Amino acid sequence: MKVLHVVQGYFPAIGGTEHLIQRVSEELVSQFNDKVTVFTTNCYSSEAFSTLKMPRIAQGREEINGVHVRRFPVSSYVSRLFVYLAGNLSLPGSQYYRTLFNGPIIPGLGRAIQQSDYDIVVAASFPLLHMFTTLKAAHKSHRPCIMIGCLHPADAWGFDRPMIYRAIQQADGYVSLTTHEAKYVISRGVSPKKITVIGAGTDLPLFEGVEQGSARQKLGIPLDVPVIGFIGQVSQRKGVETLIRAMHQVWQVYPSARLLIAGAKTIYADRLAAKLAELPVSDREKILLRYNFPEEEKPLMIASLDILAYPSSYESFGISYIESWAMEKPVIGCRNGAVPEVIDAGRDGLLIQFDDANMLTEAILVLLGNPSWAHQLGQQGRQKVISFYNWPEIARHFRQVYLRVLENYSNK
Amino acid sequence: MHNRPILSTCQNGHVALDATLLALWQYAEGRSLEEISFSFNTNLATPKIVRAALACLAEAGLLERNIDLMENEGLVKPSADRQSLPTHPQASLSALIVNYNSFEWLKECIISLLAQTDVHIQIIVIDNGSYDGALDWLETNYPDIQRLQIEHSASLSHAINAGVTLASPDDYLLILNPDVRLETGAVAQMVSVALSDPLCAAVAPKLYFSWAPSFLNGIGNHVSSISWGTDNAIGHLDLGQFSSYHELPSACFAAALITPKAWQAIGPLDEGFPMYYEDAEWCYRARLLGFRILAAPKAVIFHAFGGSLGSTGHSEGITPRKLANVVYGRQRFAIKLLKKYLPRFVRNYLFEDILNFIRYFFTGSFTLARAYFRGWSNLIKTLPAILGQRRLLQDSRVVSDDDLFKVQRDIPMPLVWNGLPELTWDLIIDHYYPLIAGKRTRSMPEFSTQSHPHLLIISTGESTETTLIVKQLIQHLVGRMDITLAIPTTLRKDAPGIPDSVEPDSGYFQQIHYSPDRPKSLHLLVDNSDIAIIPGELVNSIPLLEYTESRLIILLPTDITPHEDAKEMDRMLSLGDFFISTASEHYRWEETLKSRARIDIPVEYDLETIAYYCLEGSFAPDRYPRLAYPVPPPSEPTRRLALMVYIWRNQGFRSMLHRTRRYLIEHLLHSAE
Repeated sequence: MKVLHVVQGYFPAIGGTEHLIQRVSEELVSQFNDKVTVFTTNCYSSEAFSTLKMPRIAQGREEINGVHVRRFPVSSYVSRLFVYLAGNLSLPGSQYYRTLFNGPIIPGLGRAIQQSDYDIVVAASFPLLHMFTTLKAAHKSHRPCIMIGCLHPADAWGFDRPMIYRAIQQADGYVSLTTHEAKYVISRGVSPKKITVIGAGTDLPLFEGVEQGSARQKLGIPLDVPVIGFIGQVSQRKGVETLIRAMHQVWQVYPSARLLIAGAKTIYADRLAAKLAELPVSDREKILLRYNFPEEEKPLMIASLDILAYPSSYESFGISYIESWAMEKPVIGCRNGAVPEVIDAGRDGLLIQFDDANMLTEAILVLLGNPSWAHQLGQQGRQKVISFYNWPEIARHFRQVYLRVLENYSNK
Repeated sequence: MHNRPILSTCQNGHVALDATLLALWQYAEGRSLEEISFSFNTNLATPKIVRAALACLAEAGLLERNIDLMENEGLVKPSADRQSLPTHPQASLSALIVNYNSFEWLKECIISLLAQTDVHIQIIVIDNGSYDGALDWLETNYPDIQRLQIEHSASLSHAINAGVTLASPDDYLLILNPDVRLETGAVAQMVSVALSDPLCAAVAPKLYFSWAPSFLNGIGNHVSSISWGTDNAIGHLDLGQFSSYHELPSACFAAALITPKAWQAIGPLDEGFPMYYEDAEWCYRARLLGFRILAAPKAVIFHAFGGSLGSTGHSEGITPRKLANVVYGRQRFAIKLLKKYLPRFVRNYLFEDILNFIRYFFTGSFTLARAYFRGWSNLIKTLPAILGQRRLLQDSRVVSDDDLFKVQRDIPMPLVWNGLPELTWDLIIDHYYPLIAGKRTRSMPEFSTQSHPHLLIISTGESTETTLIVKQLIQHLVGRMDITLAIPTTLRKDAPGIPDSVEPDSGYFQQIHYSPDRPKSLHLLVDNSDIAIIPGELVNSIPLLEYTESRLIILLPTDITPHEDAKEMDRMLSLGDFFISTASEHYRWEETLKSRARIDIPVEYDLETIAYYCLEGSFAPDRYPRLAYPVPPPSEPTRRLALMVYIWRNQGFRSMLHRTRRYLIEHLLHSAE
């Protein structure tokens, strides 16, 4: 089978969708000898689509682990023109301005999709513009199109756009990461027949054999202090500020505790820097901030933690949780969106209400005060990862969907 | 039938499925749960959804669980709702059954009624002019049963009112259709609920379809401003999700218990209703006057819905007579009872009638179209009389329309298709799976291997008596539940009497420490468990317990009396789903709960029963109502223009237009007043 994946970013870009497409692509090549091509941008993060002064990856063609990757340049300055129409005025029809502002505006992408040799095209993720371009190009060249939305239903600005759901209705298949997302898409008028729920996964071997002590030594973290970590995209909606507020209370009980914040840098970085500057020096010294770390450092980061606290307002899946479970770390998440479907409260992690710094404090303190219980939660999480959330299994499910859509399309 | 798969039940009824669920039903034959969960391939078919679908098919009686296979897979057997019978209430009842060509059903009804041994029942059968031989049969076989022959067939309300004249004025009135069959103890349960509340006017049992006994015919009924009056939750598969129903909008008189006090205060049924709406009118009238209609979810009655018309459960379509009666009845109901909501009801009903009239007229169903004329002409003829009754009633009402209809806000939509209960893949995903996964149902064996219920036991370690109970409970439940024991940091892990471990491999058990000066941490632990046992003396120090989804078992304190610290006591007693007391204090606590209108809440001291509740109670929704976590409202600017700009920016242009329109309407109305 010849598969074309169209995604906003690809390795070495960091992000949940980017990683999902990379791992599914690689598994399709290694397990099934499929020919997989990826069309993507030359950006590290989606903010670069409308921001001029962000670092870029070299454009052009390359092969990564058997996957053919073609990177297109993005016209960020065009997206930038829509910033006021999209963000500030909420004019009628603002969904179009918002989508143009989000970008990525990729000259030549549609034509390239039409001219490529593939059986099926798969696009990820919304609310970005390339999803619509891909759908149009696939239909023009009479080939089936599957969409992976990775929707965050709670984000009205980003996802309350009727054009997204019209596009999903026109697509030949839709993969959602959780039942929560699937139900939301159905509530927006998409036929359930098009939707398949497949979760995300992780690479267990990557997270094996890394000791906490050696990881801390490599990262320069003291060995005998509790470490609470936030690993994921560092943006406002991920609850970093709630965590910092909670840590202020945690430090009253565990003064030596450290907070590790690591992940992709976003435009939120400036605001976070300002927030950190407001903290007392004694608190600031206990926060370790690592932006855009190399992917191979991720197991080290997770291994160095005692607890993963990821109090995000909403998640389409929450890969950070399963990566932490892979290393038997207990996790803390919020009762929002898909997270309660992923974390089994009290068995493999703890759930709190979003933006409740007091309860987050209690969760951290209870876990730190009961290390054997915390370890038990992490172990339970790892069992879940072994059973459900591993890439070979996930990729097999994806391929089944591709084959089914292809068969339905050819029967039309 | 109509291109839709229909499956038969063992009782010769039918259930409407869809193609996906039928495919699963066919696929499940002879396969293990594990195999089906992971290999059944369809849209949205995650293993959990497939398990939920299988559980629903099994509970609906459409699939049979293979006990041998289940045991091989380590699953537990299904459990039924717990039926705890009340302690022989001292009440005398008159059961009124109106017979109209329903002799064939009547026999079974009488037999099941005579089997209700917990209460004394005087049966009165009224033949409403049908002369089908029922009274002769009764005279021969049951001479003790009182009989009343109405010469010419009259309205149902007339027949019931006539029957009531034969009953003793102090008797509870049990109104029954002849096509019902009562489960043992049903009447005692209803009486027990009626006794619990001095303002109770009527009690509604759980009515099931006798031909599809897993599906609800209803638990009471209600009238709304759109469509016809409907039985509450009709067509829903009963998985135990209705066990917490307490107050209802109205009782359905297919089976209802009326208190003598309410009958005397409210008066007889309105004989102006030819058929339909008489029960709702009486109940809503009672509520207008300050009475309450209560549910008795443990009283089970089976109803051959439509059986007295000779149906086997299929919808036989609408007859012109029925249509005319409904058109007339619902307008009579609205005009007589409503005040603020009257324009809305009358307008909506009129609009519906006009649309349906046009539809029937242009599709050639002239007899049905004519029924609308008949209904409306009846209404116009009787309007002066209705307005007279309305005047009297409105003068004495004590409840507003807003309060009258508040009770029915959360009543779920009917799930019926052409008169048949329906079960579809979409319903599994959107309705039943969230119920099962949210543990708002009985425990489903299909979900039992996922994990055991998680029990949190909080111990203060102070009282030796409660410590002993905790220890015994852990011994009883370990292996059947995942247990976490939380003890204060001031207590050593190996403190005397506190279990710190269990036999290796006997099950999940963890002992953790909490800090007594951080009560919020206890709330966090409670929130992250399925069921929590909390010592009574700790309850008031734990904030936000009102909002938790977990079931709460309160270990009642031994050293304070129920009359101390009234405010704190109220909170403690209002929060528990179940209580544990010592044997000597048991009766006193039970009475204290009753005095706080917490009826039917178990107070137990027997270890086996407590263990049973811990296992089953984690799936039984007992606390009602549950509250959503308080969400702080967004701070809106107060100046009108700023507010509109705020709404435009945060909620969009349409919302702004809508809010502006609403403001203008309210402002203009206010000025006019």
